[in-house]
Parts: sequence; structure tokens; C-alpha cells
Amino acid sequence: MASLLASTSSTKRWLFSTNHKEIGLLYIITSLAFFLVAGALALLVRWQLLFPSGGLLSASVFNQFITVHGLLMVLWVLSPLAIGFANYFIPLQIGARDLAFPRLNAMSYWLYLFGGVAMVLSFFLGSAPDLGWTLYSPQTSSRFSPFLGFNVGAAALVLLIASVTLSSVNFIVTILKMRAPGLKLKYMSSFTWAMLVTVFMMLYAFPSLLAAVIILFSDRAFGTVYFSSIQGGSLLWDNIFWFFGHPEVYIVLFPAIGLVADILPTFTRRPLYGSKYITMSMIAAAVISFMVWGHHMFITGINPQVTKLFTLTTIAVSLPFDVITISMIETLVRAKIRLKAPALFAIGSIALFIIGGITGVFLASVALDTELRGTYFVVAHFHYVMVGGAIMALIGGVYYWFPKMTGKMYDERIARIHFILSFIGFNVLYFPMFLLLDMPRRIFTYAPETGWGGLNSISTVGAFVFGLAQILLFVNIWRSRKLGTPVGPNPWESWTLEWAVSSPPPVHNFETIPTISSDGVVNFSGSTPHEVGGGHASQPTHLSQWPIVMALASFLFLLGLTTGGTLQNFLSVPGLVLSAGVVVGLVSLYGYGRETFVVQEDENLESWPFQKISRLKLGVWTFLASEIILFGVLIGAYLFVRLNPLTMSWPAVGTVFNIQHGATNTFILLTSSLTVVMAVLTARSGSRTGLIVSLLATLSLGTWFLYNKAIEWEELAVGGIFASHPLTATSYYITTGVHGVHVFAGLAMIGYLLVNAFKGKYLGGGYTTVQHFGLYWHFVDIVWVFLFPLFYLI
Amino acid sequence: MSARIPVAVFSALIAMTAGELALINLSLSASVIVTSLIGLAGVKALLIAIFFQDLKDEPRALSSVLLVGLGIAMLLMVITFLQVHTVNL
Repeated sequence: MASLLASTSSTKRWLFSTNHKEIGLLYIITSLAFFLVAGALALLVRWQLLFPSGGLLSASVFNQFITVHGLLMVLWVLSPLAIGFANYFIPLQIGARDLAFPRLNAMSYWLYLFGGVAMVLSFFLGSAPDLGWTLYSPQTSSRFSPFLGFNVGAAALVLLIASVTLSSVNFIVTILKMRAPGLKLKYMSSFTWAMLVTVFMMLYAFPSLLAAVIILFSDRAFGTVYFSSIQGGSLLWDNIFWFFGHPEVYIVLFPAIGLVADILPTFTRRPLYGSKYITMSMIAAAVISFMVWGHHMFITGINPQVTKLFTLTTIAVSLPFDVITISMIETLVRAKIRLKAPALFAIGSIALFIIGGITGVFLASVALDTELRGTYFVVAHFHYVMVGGAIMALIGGVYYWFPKMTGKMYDERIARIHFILSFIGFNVLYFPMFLLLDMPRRIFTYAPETGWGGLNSISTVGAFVFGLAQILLFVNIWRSRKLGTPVGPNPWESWTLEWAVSSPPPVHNFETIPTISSDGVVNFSGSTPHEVGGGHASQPTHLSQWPIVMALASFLFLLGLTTGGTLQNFLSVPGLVLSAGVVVGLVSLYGYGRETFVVQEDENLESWPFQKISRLKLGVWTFLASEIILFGVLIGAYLFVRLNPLTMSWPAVGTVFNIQHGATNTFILLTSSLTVVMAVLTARSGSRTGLIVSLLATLSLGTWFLYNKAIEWEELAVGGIFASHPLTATSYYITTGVHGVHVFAGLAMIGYLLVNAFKGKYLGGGYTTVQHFGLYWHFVDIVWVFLFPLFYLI
Repeated sequence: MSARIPVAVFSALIAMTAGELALINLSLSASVIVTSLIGLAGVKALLIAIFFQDLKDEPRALSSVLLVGLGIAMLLMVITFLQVHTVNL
């Protein structure tokens, strides 16, 4: 088996691997690298605030550092570190050989990495984003933030969101479809459960951020006015951003909770108290988390009745966390705890999360929030949750799983010193901020007479203790990787499935497929042996060059686009970058499609409640669920401005938008849906000619739709719609533009299907590929079914 | 599966689209027209999902995943609508 893989040290292996463990390691290493970058920015910020009238950083540089620090930590460190663990350990914990879609998994990683590179690159293009991680618009409009770096920051976010969406789909399908026989949902480990809840939240929350970034970029680059108009403006941004932003807190937190819930039973030698209720609480909190976003908007002037609703939901969302923390504390009470580093970090994380959680309840009160909003109290609160609650637990996870990943034990003495310095440094850093009730966030300096100097100095000392303590983590990893004591499969005597295999695990994870009996006992005997290749039937090497190439193409395309490149000015530097992205993208699409990379779909796996649906179909449907949110938010933005009482007039039906254009396009798309159905039927019945004719008809109709749309766009632009009805034009161009991009993507897929159909593929049992494409195409049709009346008839 | 059902569904979709076009020329109140148009769009979307995307043959859990997404999108629209209609500016 090992001979099939490139050597461990091979660059080719790390660049082209699709194996979940290697991708997991890449995620872990990269997120820790971004942790260093974002941490260094934080230390510079704290140095600036050490004394009054600090002179290290200018206001502009300070703002850039604090913004990129926040974005990197929240989006490029916390969740990706958890995704790294999930990559490595979820297949092991559920008895699978890999994730459902290995190449998509590799692409997720490379999109994430290139996104982070783009974010750091933004520093060198005039200015990085500099208005805080919440990117409040219209301050982030081109009028107030004209730098190219900001656009590149938007590109970074798009790459990250693409990565997160692909990962979400992959993990949902993997966990729901690929559990070892007998591994019912109730037997899954806490970490796997936590990740399942997390990826569902990612699936539903991140499209909102994508919609926000698309609108923001359109406002900045194409002159649309969603966020710069009084009808949309800051309130629209607040709604869309925080609709993503608050669930994001739990997206960051849940993996940490799952990790702690796996670590505690191991080190207390007793079952997790109320484990079922912890799972139920996470699900409850996930649901409620989508109803609390308005508590970030108490001082924006929204309806007082609505603020009461958000107060209630915010208090309600704290209740499941009470259950979770009480269960964890109860697990610890009177237990003989083995105080190894993972346990220390887990217990420390619970303690700090309790402080962060309680101070969060203060902010559910409108009266208190009005006073505390925008002060260092809030900074302390969310760092206690996100650093104290999440990062401490995730670091505990690094120590917990280090022996499994490397086959070596870390240095316990260094790890304990790391914990003690981190815990003390953290509290010295953040507790004084609770007392800085009157100091506004995001000010780059302060006068001596404010009296904030003492607490800021203490806080900065804590920051350096905490920051420098993290070096011990890297020293420990580096040293122990080579010099650590070799360990067996289960050095912690833990009960979850990953500890049943060697350390590090073999490429294909399990020699025999584990089965889980009704009393939860794992059985390895008598199962079907895995064939060489371990789940990559046609790619036993686990290598594919196309994921990284495709991610690179996306990076180049977005970098060129956001720095001003178009296909018209392709000889300029941005134009060349954009063109390179297009060319590399086309090549990679062709290569990706041609590569035979079939992941075997085993029978008898535990896949309730999706036994009768294939992995790929479940993946397509899951992806479409995220698309519902994307278009829901875009239509919501349209309704927001259209129904706003400040919108004095909206053009009457038929005066701006030509009903004939809209109706023609509706008939075209509806007909194209029928031709796709015919394509599926003819493929199933084995008619090659029928399939080709149906696909060609769909291609022609889709092209006709886009042609009509282009004519309409031009007519409206020439007619001066932006001058006469800027808000109408904005909502129309953005919503139908995003829809048009979806149609274009569908046409590209049809092109690919046609090439293969001419070769005689998809006939008989192979029709499912056409069917899966049909799911997407019909969805695009459904969206238009709503856009037609909204823009043309109402 | 024969082509009869898809063709029947397609005919219904075309008829409803024609109905939408006719509706805006009737002398009805704006609220009736808007409600009817959104309702017709909803029915058309359901027909496409159930018959063209074969949702009728899929497990209910799958519909739940989609309905959760739809519910979340609707929630955002309703609550932001409540806010914007009573904003104190």
C-alpha cells in the first residue's frame, strides 16, 4: 500500500493528496500558521495600547491590523482548525475510509489557503480592510474605503465561503451516509455530533455572508447602491451580516464543545454525564442561533417590539449552554481526573467559557447593551467565548490527538507550562477589559487623563505572556514529532473508534470494516477486508492535481477581477491575472472532468435516514439547500428596500422592465426544464440520440435565455435606469446577475455532459449524472419563477 | 417513467405563467394581485420540485433539509420586514 503513495516528505504528495488525514494535517498546520500571523497582529495592537498616546502604529495601520486580526482569527483559524480535526478524525470515528468526495475536500483546503493568502495580500494593495471584522457598510463602500486591498479582501472571503460550503456538503454526506454498519447516530462520538451540527450551521449561515460580500463588491465595483442608499444602508448590512455573524459564534464554539466532551470521559474514566442532552442542547442552540442576530442591532433604531423578541431569543439561546456546562461540570465532580494537558486545556476552556457566557447574557438586555455596546466589555466577553472557550479547547485537541497523528507522545512538562502560562496570560489579558467599561473599541490611542492607562498596561503584559506561551506549543510539536516517546494505538485508553487503529493510522484507516453491535461494542472480526486503495477505487494513490489547480484558477480569477481586470483590458496586469484564471480554470475543469476518480459506494453502511439516496444526489441536494439561503437573502434585500417606507416610489409595472422580455425568458426556462427531464428519460431508456437532442435543446434554450437577458440589460443601461431608478436598478442587476451566473454555470455543465453523451456515456444506469445536473437546473428555474413576478409583474 | 406526467406538469406551468400575465391586466386590488402572483409562483416552484426534481420519491428527511433552508430564509425576510416597517429614524 505504502508503495502506491509518494513518500511522506514528497512535495507532490502534499500538493496533490486527497487523503482525508493529509488534508486534515494541512488544515491544522495552515490554521496554526494563520494563528501566528493573527496573533502577531494582536500583539502589535496591544503594544500600541500599552501606554496612553502610543506611537507605534498610525490610526490607519492600527485599524487594518485589528480588522485582519479579527477576520483571520474567526474565519481562518478557529473553524479551519476544527475542520482539520474533523478531516482527520471523523472518518476514523465513524469507521469510514475517507470523506465522501475526496477531491472536493482537497479543493476546499486549497480554496481556504488561497483565501488566506489573498487576505494577507490585501495589506500590500493600498490598504487591507480596516473597519473591523464586521465590515460595516456604508463605511466599507468605495467612497470611504477606496483601496484595492479591500476588494481583494472581498475576494478572500468569497474563496473562504466556497471552501466552507464544499466542506459542509462533504461532511454532511460523509456523516449521514458513510457510518460503519451498526453505528447509529446515537452511538456517534460527541465530536462527530458537534461537527454535524456545525456543518449544518455553516451550510445555512455562510450563504448570507456570501450575499453580503457580493452586494458589497457590486456596490464598490459597479456602482450599485444597496448599502449607500438610505433605504438599504447600514441597517440592511447589519441584518445580512449578523444573520451570518451570530450563528458563526456557535459554528466556532461547537467543535470545541464536542472536543471537550470527548476529552472529559477519557481523562475522568467515566461516561459523559448527560451526553444525550448535550447533543440535544447543541441542536437547540443551533436552531435558536438563527433567531438572535438582532441583539447586535439594539442601538440601530429598530422597532422596540422586535428588540424584545431578540432579548427573549438571546436569553433562550443561553439555556442549552447551561445544560452543556452543567453536564460537563457534573462529569468532573468527584472524578479521579488524570490531569494531563488535554484535560487541563478542556477544564480551562469550560471555566473561561462560563465567564464569557454569563457576560454575554448581560448583553441580551437592551438597557445594558445600550451602555456596553462598542466598549472593551464586549471585547472581553467575546474573547472569553472565542479564545477562552474555543481556542483553549482546540489546543487541548492538538495535545489529545497528537499521539494519534504522529505515533509519538508530546512533552507533558512543556505542555503543562504552556497551559499554566496560557491560562494566567489569558486572564491578565482579558479580565481588565471587563473593567474598561467606558473605553470604546477600535480606538488607536487614548489620552492620559482618561485613566485607562493602568488597565491597558496590565492587559498588554497579559497579551505578551499569552502570546509567547503559544511558542511552547510549536516547540513541543516540533520537538516531540522527532523525539517523542513512541505510543501504541490507544495511549489514553479512550473509547472512541479512532483509538482502535495504529498511531498514526494506515492510509486506508481500517484493515477490516468495523461493525458496531446493538450494545455499542465494536467488532473488527469477520468483516469485509478493504481492497487496496481504500475507497479510491480508481485512484489508489489518493493523488489528484486538479483540486489545487482549480483553486488556483479561482484565486487568479477573483484576484484579477477585484483589482480591476476585465477581459477587455486583458493586457493590463489585473487583466492578465484574470485571463490566466479563466484559462487555468477551463483547463482544470476539463482535467477534473476527465479524471477517473470513483469513490466506491459500499453497501450495508449505516445511512439512516438516507438509505435510498446516493451520496452524490444527497450532496447536490445539500448544496442546493445553501443556494436557497443565498437567493433568499438576495430576494430579502430586494424586499427590504422595496418595502421600506423611505422608498417613496417604485416604477410602475411595465414602465421600466419589459414584461415581454421577462415572459419570454420564463417560457424559455420552463421549456428547458422539460428538456432536461426528457434528457433524463431518454438516457434512462438507453437512447443516445434522444439524450443528445435533449441536451442540445437545453443548451440552446439556456443560451437564448442569457442572450435575451444581455439584450435587456443593455436596453436598461442605455435607457438610463441607474440615473432614474438607482435602487430598482441595483436590486434588479444584482439579483438577476447572480441568477445569470448560475445559468452560465449550468450551460458549462451541459457542455461537459454533451461531450460525454456523444461518447455514449450516461445511458442505462449511468443516467443519474444527468439527473443530478437536472436537480441544479430545475433549481435555477425555480429561482426565476419567483424573480419574474417580483421584478416584472409587481 | 413516461413523459406524460412531465408534459402535463409543463403544460400547467405554462398555463399558470399565462395566468400571471393575465392577472395583472384585471381590475383587482394590488394586494389581491400580489398575493395571487406570489401564490402562483409558489405553486409553480412546488410543481417543479415535486415532479421535475422528483422530490415526491425522495425520503422526507431530504425535504426537511430543504425546508429548514427555506424556513431560515423566510425568517430573515419576515423579521427584517418587521424592523424596516417600524424603524425609528
